[in-house]
Amino acid sequence: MSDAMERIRATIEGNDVVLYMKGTKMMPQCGFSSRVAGVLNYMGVDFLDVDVLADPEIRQGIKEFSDWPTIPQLYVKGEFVGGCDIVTEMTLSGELDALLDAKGVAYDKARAEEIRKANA
Amino acid sequence: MRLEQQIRARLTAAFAPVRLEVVNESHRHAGHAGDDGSGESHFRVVIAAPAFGPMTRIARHRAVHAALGRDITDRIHALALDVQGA
Repeated sequence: MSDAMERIRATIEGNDVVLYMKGTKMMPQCGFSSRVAGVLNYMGVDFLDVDVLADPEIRQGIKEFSDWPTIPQLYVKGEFVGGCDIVTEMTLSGELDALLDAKGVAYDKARAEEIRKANA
Repeated sequence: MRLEQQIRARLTAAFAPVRLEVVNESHRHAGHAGDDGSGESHFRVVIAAPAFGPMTRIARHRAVHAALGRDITDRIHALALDVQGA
């Protein structure tokens, strides 16, 4: 296994919630990354942001790691959840709440409801 | 063939969809990060087909990625997907 793959594995195993994104949670560099980081921030989820633009090996490696061609990519407790479209759908359907509940990850349920109300 | 038509052709061949919309949204991202000047950098696809019915969300997206192939997915910057069973 390459060094990049090993680093990715260590990162997602060592942190409950990891978002591989373009830019950072405070300064996203792409609308799709911005949307997912925004949802997690708003829901009060404590997550690690990994800026793929800062590391070409990770940028390529993360696509191979989950056989997924696009960024952002969200991982919860070591498991790949999806990209922007899937996370958005799961947020609006309540599936993201259920996943975080099942995995024992803290978040603000009221904030999640606010997102759903605003997008109803 | 334009990329939009290639995407449409591959998805039609792979899934015989009952609904397929392929929208080139590249003009909305002109000058932004990821705009390579090709005018074919950002696409939105809405597809519904019986084959997707039993699949999880991730499996649906993977099936679409596989049908498009690396030559297309590597070429475009962004692919917004709405994949539904039918």
